[in-house]
Amino acid sequence: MAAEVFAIHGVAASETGTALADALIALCDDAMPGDQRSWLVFSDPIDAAAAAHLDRIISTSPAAVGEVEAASVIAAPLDGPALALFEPLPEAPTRTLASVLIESKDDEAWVRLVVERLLGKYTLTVASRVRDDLAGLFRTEGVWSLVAPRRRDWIDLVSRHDLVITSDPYTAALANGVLKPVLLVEGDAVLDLPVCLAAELDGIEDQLSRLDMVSIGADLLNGKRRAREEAVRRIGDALGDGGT
Amino acid sequence: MTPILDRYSRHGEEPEPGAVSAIHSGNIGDIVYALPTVRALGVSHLLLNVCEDPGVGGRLMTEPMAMSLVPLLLDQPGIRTVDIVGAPIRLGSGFGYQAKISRLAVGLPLEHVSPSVLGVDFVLDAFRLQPLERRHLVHAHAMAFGSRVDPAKAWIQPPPASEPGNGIAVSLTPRYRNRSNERLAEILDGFGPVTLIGFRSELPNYFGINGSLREFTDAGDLAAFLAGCSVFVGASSFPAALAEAMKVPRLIDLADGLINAFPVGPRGWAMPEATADARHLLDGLLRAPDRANERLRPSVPIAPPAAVVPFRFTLEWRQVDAEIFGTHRARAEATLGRAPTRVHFDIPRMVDHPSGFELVIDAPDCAFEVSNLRCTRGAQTLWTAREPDDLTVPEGALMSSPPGVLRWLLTQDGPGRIRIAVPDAVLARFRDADLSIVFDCRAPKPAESGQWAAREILALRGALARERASGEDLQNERAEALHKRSDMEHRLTSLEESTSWRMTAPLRTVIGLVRPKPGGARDDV
Repeated sequence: MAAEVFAIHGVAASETGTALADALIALCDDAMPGDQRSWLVFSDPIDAAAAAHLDRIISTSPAAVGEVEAASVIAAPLDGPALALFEPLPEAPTRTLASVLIESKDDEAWVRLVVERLLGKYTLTVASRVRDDLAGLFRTEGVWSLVAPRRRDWIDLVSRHDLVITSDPYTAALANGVLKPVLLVEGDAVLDLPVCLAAELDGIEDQLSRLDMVSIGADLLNGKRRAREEAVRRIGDALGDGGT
Repeated sequence: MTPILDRYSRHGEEPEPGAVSAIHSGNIGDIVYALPTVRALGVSHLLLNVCEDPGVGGRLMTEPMAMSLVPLLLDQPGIRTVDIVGAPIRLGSGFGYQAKISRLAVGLPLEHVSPSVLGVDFVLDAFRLQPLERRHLVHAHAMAFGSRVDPAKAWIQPPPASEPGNGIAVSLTPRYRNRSNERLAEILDGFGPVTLIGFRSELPNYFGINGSLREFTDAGDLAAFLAGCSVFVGASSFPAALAEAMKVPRLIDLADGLINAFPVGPRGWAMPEATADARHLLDGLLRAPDRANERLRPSVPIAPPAAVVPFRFTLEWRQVDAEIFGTHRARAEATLGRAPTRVHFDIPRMVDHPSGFELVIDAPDCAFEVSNLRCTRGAQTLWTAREPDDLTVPEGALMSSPPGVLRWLLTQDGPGRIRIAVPDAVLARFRDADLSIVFDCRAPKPAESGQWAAREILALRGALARERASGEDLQNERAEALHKRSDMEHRLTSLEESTSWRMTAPLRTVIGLVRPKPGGARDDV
């Protein structure tokens, strides 16, 4: 059987985009095991000439695909943070709560509040992937401050901590993907993720003290496995329909 | 061989010139987790280095254990030769007699030895230099050599001899524990035949769990058996590694501490914390293993964190004819949580055999459980506390528990004492050899100890109700008996006053003389 040519559209051609594309490809491979296929990754816009040679396009933003008719376009049933959950990351489940990683892109107000509340109770690390001045802001005794711009360093940092507090849903998904529970600041709990709770900033130390980390370890692992099976089923159904 | 290693035996084909070789020093479960990397590296010649290093890395791979792996390894694609090797080295610690008897390592751990020194291409022991506290053992092996592997795919093919219908397989070891045996027994209860995997000497690991013990001396046979099981249930162990490698439907009790061997890929689940949820999932795995995800109950547990309690144990014994305990003692410390932890007292050979043992426990207020207490000599168990009187407490708030298990609500009035009734025949053996007293203990969470107390209160209420009921029954019986007696007296008086009674008196006298009633002569004539 000739190899089919698939393309993934709608993920930015960046380190993150490539990882998300890898995650989607892995899910598709699980949904259609055994078939050989070649993969291309497009960001916007799709090259119409290239698209003419494709068998399928899997798009995370199908509205932008309108004019491409050469291939059947399949709407990816997953996008946003949930897809980041399935990046092929080395998992590191935990059963205790001793160290907390606090991640912020640009707003240090809530970080300062959380550090004040948790200082002395847990080993704290404040980290940012973009703010290279963050280390200076939290140079407090008992707090590690790091800048981890490289994705590999960032994932390693997450895997070394027991829990992540962040305001970024993508980071939350990554942390759950590494099997770390997450408190999400300035947002609702993300129900698509296995253990991503809304942070109660006013009582965060109490919230952390009430977490049953032993239960969370098993629930997070099982929740991720279940989410993957569900995602594979949904993608399998979409691929089986032959596109929209 | 190299100047360092002796070859004990060779299995499979003679290695071809240039064959890629790798060496591993165990444990045997780690070797199973190394196989994806072995394949990725193109290794065809595998060397198993016999090594026991309780004082270095906690390895235990004896020559028989290595031998048991050989058939399974030679069945794996790409592996053509398996050598069993070892270094004639023993390391101790300290000075003098201590150095003579202590045992840091027998054989040589190799993670810091260069492959060129050993004459191999890869030293797989290098996985121990990876961050094992947060890496799956499959990834840890691959990371050591920059290989890419996927633990989600099965990496051992089930042996052809495997047949379905083996029921539930269970494997537990003292290491990597979370739940107590009692909880596991509740989870397994009623789901059909259970096979406990282990050697006879490991039976105490399964105390309280119903099932039949089955010993396997060959990893191939064990793999064939596991492949035919409906579900594997257990904690991290060599059988768990085989179940993971074959992606047998599995329910793994994640360890309370170090987790570097957890279920990955299809049909593998972590045991949910709630017993009812775990049973629901196990039921789903048994009915339709590929749809067990529908049996998961989403939950975001919010509860007080599990307490960890520092314990100091002192084992005291008295010599024959001594009046008091405490003249001889050994000490141990442990930090206990809800998972069972094994405490080990080595007792040197005695001049006179002891007449009794007491375990002194110094800990803050908490609930405490002791189980599987036994006397051992090496791997041999001489005696296990199983009877209600084997473990007794002179003072304290004991909770009811199965025989051989002692549950206690410790208070800070002073150290707690448990009297251990070791049989005389076993006590006498303390003169013959160095023996050990070993037990598992844990400090359950308040929720569980609350259940103990609740059960105790319910049992006391039941006993009180039974006592009251039995008191009322006795009162009723007494009243009824009094009523009967009064009735009989009344009837007797009426009879004696009747004309016919007086008229027939001579005749009854004659009959009584001729045919006495059983029980002697009647005095009413």
